[in-house]
Amino acid sequence: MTLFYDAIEEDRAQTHALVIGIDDYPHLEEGALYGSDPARFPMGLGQLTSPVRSATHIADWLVTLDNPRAPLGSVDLLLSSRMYSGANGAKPVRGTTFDDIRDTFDLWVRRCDHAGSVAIFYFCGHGISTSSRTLLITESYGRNRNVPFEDVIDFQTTYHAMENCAAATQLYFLDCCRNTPPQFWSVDYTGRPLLTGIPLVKRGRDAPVLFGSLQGQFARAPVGEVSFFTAALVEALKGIAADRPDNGRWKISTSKLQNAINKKIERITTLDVRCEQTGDTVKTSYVHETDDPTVLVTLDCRPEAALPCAHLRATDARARPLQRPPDPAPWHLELKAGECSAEAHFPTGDFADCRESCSINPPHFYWTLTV
Amino acid sequence: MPVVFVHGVNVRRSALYDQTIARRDAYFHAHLPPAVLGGVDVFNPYWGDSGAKFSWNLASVPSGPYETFGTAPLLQLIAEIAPGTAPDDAGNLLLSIARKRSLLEVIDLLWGAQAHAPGPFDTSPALIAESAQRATTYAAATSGPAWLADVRSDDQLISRLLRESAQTCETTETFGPSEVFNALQWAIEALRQLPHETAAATVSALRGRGNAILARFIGDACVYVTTRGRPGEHGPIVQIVVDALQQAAQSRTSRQPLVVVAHSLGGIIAYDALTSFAPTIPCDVLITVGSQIALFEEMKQFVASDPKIPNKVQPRAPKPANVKHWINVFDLVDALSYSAGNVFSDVKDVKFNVSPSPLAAHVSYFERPTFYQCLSAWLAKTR
Amino acid sequence: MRGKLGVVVNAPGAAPDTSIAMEIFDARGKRVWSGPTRLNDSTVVGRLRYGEYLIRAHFPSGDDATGHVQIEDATTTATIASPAAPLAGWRWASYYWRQPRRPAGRVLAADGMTLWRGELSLASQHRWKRMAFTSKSTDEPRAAQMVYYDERGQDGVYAHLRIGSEIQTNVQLWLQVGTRFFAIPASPRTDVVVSVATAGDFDVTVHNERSAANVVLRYLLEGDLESARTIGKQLIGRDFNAAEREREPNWNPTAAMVTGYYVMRAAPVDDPPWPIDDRFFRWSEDVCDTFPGFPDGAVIFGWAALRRHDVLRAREAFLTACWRGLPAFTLGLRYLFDGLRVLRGTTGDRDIADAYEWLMDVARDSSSETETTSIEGSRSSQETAPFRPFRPRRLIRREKKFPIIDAASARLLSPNLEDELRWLSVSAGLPAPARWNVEIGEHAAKAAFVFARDDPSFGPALFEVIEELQNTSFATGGSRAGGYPIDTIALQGEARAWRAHFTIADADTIVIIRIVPILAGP
Repeated sequence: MTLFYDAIEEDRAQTHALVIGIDDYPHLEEGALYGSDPARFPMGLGQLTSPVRSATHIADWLVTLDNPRAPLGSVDLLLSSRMYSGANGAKPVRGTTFDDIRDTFDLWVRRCDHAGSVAIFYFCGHGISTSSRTLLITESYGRNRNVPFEDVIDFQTTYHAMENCAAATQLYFLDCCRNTPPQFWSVDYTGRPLLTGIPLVKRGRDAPVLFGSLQGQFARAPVGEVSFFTAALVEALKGIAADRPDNGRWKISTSKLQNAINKKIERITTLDVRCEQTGDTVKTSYVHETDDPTVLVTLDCRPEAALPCAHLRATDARARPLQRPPDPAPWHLELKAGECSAEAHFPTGDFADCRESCSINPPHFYWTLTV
Repeated sequence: MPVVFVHGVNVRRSALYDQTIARRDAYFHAHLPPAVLGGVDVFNPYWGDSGAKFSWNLASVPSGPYETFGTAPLLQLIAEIAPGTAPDDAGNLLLSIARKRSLLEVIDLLWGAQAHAPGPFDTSPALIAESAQRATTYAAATSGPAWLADVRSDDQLISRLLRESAQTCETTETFGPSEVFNALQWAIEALRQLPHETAAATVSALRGRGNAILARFIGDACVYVTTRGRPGEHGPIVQIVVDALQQAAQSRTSRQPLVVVAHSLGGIIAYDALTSFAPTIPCDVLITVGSQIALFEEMKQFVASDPKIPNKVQPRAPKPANVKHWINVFDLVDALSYSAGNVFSDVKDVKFNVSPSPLAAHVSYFERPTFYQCLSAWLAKTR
Repeated sequence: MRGKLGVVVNAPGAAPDTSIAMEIFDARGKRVWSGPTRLNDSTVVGRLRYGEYLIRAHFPSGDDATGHVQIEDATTTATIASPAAPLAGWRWASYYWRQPRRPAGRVLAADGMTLWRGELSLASQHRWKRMAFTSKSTDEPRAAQMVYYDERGQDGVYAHLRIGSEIQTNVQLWLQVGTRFFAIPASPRTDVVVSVATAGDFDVTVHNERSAANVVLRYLLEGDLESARTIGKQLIGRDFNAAEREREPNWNPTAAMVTGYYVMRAAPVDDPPWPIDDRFFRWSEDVCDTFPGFPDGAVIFGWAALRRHDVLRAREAFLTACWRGLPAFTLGLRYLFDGLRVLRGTTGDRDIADAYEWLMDVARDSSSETETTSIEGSRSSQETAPFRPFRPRRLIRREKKFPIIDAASARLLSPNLEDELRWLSVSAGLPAPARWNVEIGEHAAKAAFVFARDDPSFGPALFEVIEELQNTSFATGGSRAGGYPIDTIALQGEARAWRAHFTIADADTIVIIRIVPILAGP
């Protein structure tokens, strides 16, 4: 099976991504094989509709990745639907059984084994967790009744073993639930790692792990749509997590991802969804460059009584004016970083019109116009 | 739509009280149709501090082998709801009950067990109550669904029940089990781990100590009667309840009905309040549950009791003038519940089977999802 | 033209000497300055070009405070207001807390809380006691006292725990709220606030007198690693520097633990002690030995050893951590799980496997949202202790009970046990020479100690050999029941070396060896 994106150059620092999205679980409830060969522990899990869409969404963005120090070398896309259909047309892709994932992972790790490379791992599908570790559930879960958790990925062991991979920057995005089913309360079932080993050389790596849910909580998605975490993640990678450490372009910083993602999630859903970051890091890495960094702006007025009668207008560096008619709630909008102006206009004359300009930075800016 | 819940005896403030209120409020919210009647606001006037105080802490109650241990509440639940059942060969109790008895009993048992064994989860009471409402509606409409034959374990039974009863327009999914299933799993496990051989033995065991329940009833009733005061000079308990009724009446819009749900002695207090202490508050529906109102009226212990009734012209006491509909719920087994239809006119008596245990029944009405199901049906009939 | 900028971040009620991370951006969004700023104090940023700047201060709670300033003169001052702090009484805690997103369903009640105090004694037993609450503040230096405070704000109820200045290094504190247990890091002069947190769980916010530790820990938990690095420099600067530490009369254990976690999680590769080297190893060994009440120290030391691929020491360290109990910090619990798992996957060690299962059982329902470890108590142990203890079979431990004793080194040789550790190094202070001889049955293997001591000025040592988890103490003569006769323990050799022989009964023998010198009595 060919790669989703292939611009591999040997012996060169590049960014290599492995993207997995699993909707279909044949051995779980309402799955194709559930009637004849159900999983021994279905754990209340069923079929999903969002992961393939979410994985497609991030894969579509990844091909636009711009990192001069580690240009995009490859994107390996695995979908349970075995068919990609998105912004880049339609083509067959590999499936998401444990064996599929493990084989692809082996090749991916070897590709990433270069000091300057950036390794990106993205998983969207069912997941479960105990207080100590997360298990990622692959499509073939439930296949073997004698070893019920054979087709489940032991993420922590894999993560620690990845320290042996030379890539100094490794990003792990896990969009899955992290609740603990009762089977795990009394018995420590282990999944299988994709990689094992104690790190032989302590190099230090920037290896944050970003989860789409908190420990014991649930990752959520609108039915059939991109999940909240993935949607926020892509927006963060596009520009909200941008930083400008020098005179060059805006760069997406791994140290700013969690905050950017959470601030964006707050805007797209009121459900209890939050991103958690763990993992060991020794530096901040910049994984993408952009000229289009986004700032999540909240525009408000003081005194408070002014807000419900204010016509608000905002302009950013793109000279793109946005407006809002009077409303009692603060205005949540997105502007491009840089010189911006905001004004409040009161046609009834209850308050004096006012206008302010200033420069704003990602990820978030709370702008209070004093009227 | 305001709902005033007047509690009965033996209610004292504690962490358990807070949890009980949260749970009960959530069930009211889930089962009373808000769309038509506006939002549901529940008022819980607490009069327990003004109730009986026992100087020796109920030392007069003879002690016996009634020590409770961790599994007792769950065993009691099974004994009350599905006595004599045992798990099947694979250890599935709920499946066994579903196949031999009914899904409604499974729901009462499991959601009741969840209240006792919530596990480490912090699932919101609203989610639990809503899922109970959907499940009971589904189970009441489809007795013995065909898919029951395909299910092989308790987990699968509950998961399937939740999915079948779920509203078809769920807008979000979780990348794991549903939150409700997650929360119920602990209860399923807790039920699975019970020593079922002893379940039969607890049929006769009382919830808590029977003497203690009676003692508190007698105590609270005495204190109430002696301290209730007179119209215009309200005693402390009466004042608390009247305040809540007034608050509730003020909070509603003109189209929303005021509902009063009163349990046990709370029914007596509510009756006194509506007839004598606050006779101008219009109450659309009064639901008395496990209450002794008719008994009190027979003894002429209400402020408004008329000693000349019954007589040839008026064989029954009138229902309170400011109450449009009155439903009185009792259980034949509940030793402290009384019917009202023979003493009052214009009241609808409804039987509800709570439990085979005489005093356990008294305190269990509001723990059964099926009770709320019936409650919403009764309310619907009054409209 | 350039000017100086003085920035004051106003945070009323913040603890004195608290610094947080601040960044300054120019009009094009480029970061021109980043560093620590002390709250309520002026931080001078020199030589900025005239123009407009955006100042952003990152609070440990995850909030940002921003302000704009125009530099047009030689000196300009800007004042940034902190985010609103809902708690009037504990503003300092507000700056650390994430604001809850939904109202808490639970409420703290004084009669629902119990404080447990566990003392790790010489006899290797944990003695747990429940402590009473007081409602008045006291200056009792050894106290760990709870002042229950009912401030029903929008978020619920708070309780305030104050730990005195002389709490011992071998003490652990756990707070029980309902069936949930929360670790309270027992550092001297610590304030702890328990509140209802986001998920309805309870949050324990620890305010240590070393503010940098509080701040860095919160940054780590918020995932704000850049800010953690900004303030982490202060932690490393003081804690890592032995000379600096010596000037401080009491080594602050919480600060030490947080420094260790900071190094492991976020310390930049260009700063010391990266790459992980002898300095971190020795420092973490020191932390492990000095604070027996903190399993965290052993966890950090274990990882330092793992990084050097010193599997033997890592094994010893992780088992010591489990023996001591549960790490006080959630980060530590995670690292302990990971460390045990790494070893379990690569060695066939039964003790490690047992430790992992114990940890899985005891910490099964730990919360990841609280900064200190929070677990669901198991029913069986709730009456007597927050959790059931772990007893390994084979563990060589040492404890530095008396900090004034010089380091000495001893080696344990066990050449005949194939699967056993070949040799380990044990350090402790030791006394004047005496004759000791130990025999425990006569079976396959022999083990020998060789001690070398630096300073002969102390009294006789009590050398404890604890077998099968039973404490045996003996001077000369005497035997103990249990099947293994012990005659005398003789340390033989010259002034600088002693040798003790004893025999490990068989592969399953449990031997815990402690070397605890006792000062000669008056």
